[in-house]
Amino acid sequence: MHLLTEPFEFAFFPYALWAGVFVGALCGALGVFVVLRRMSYIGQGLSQSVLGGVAPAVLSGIDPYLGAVAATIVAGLLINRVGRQHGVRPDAAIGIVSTVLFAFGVALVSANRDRAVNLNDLLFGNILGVDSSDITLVAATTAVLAIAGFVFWKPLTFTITDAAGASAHGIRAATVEAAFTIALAAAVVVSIRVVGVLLIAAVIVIPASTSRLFGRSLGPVVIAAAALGAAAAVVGMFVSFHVEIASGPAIVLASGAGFALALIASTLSSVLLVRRARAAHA
Amino acid sequence: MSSPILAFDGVTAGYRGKPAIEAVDLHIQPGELVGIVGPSGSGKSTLLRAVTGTTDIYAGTVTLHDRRVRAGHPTRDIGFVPQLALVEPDTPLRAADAVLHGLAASSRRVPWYSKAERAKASALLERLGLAGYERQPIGELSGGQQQRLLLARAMIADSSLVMLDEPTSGVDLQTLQDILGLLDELNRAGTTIVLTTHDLNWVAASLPRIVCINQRIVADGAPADVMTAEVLERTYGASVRIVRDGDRILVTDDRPHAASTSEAR
Repeated sequence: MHLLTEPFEFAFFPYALWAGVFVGALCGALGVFVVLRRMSYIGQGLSQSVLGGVAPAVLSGIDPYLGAVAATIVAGLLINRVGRQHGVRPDAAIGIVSTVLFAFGVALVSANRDRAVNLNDLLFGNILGVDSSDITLVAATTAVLAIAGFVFWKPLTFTITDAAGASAHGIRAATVEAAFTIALAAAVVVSIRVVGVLLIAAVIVIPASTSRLFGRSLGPVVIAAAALGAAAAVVGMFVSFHVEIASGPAIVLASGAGFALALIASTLSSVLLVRRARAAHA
Repeated sequence: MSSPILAFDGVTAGYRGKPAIEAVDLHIQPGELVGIVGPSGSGKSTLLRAVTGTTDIYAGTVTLHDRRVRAGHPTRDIGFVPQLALVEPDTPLRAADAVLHGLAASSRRVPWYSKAERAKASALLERLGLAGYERQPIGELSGGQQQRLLLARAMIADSSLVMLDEPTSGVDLQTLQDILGLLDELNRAGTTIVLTTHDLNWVAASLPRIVCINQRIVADGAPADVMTAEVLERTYGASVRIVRDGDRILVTDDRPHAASTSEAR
């Protein structure tokens, strides 16, 4: 019991825990649509692009968060646009846009070595630095996107599963896809402080993939992915505290362990079904 | 004559600046059942996509319900069945939900569909021989079943115009008969239907109006007027033989010993 209560003796822990839960749920839910669009690495791409906005913001004395928001939204829209271009596959669009923006940020940093730009927090996250204003931002983003998902569920699910069909049935599919990319960019930006740029893709893709192993309907799959993402954040935060490892990797490892268990269960279930079928036809 | 439900006036349209159809003039009246035929790459699908706003229009106008269609702007009151592209087996989307997507643009802005909407989806699935499949993920359905499901999706909004791109391709005989029976039923109830197909014998036997296209309209009229060796040769660039037996029209390969066609009734 002490293992569960001890972390709360530290002021930062509740903030970190809540931030992790919101980020896990938000990225987990959005991840289902990302995986369905076969753009699993868009989270990684968007987060890498952040440096393209953070570096110029820091060097200009602007709030780095604003730079991150701007760069991520620009990257999202560019990936969306370039990926629709004939001859450019969506995965190639992610690679092109994110690496170019990342290179732009690195180039700026390297050209200004006399000015300190701390990339550690950006790359690996700094959950110890999360305060109440961060929680408010993450919670507000989660709430806004949850409401948007509720209201636009029908056009969103139609577009994500069949964009051409949606267009032909009166849905502005291109607008829906662009709006989804902006929503994802917002989720990435608010998640960076918790998990860091390098591990964003994991919190987007793993809970969604775990959920899809068993889900047969989109609504329950999205809800389960959000729950799995939040659960991985809780487990990861406690592990991080007690084992003294960084929170981002701890959350991702917890999520990965959940996926491994689900994969084993899914495989066993398939084997059992085959055996039952063989027995029935023996 | 009433104003056409769908009108192409001098339409040139295509993709990436390359026209797939040129100077197309075609007027379709409410309640018509029209088959578009032509070789692969002749612009049949582009013709339909010009109506759904998903292809570029370089010249002319497409008018639907007296409103001009603009590329990139979705149109309403159309049911559209695209060419069959099989869905991945693990797509987490149930058959009934896929059918209900046909109402996504007009339904209430909540994540669920009403009882009446769900009942309608179930009734359509039953009519198309998919009773009991409501909760089945669409990726686990066969190709023929997915084709029926797309037709149910196109029909659920009670659109006054239903367009089908190659509905007869890649489906088994039972599915084909079910689909054609349903289209006939829909048309009798007043729905305008436009479809593309490669099946010349079927269109000759079943549809009252045929449009032959090869980038431009080659011929447009009743089967008896359109299904001639001369028209089909101009459309397909291949010589064919037409066998007429009363009202029956049979299109066969003109090569000696060719017997690869089926008789249409």
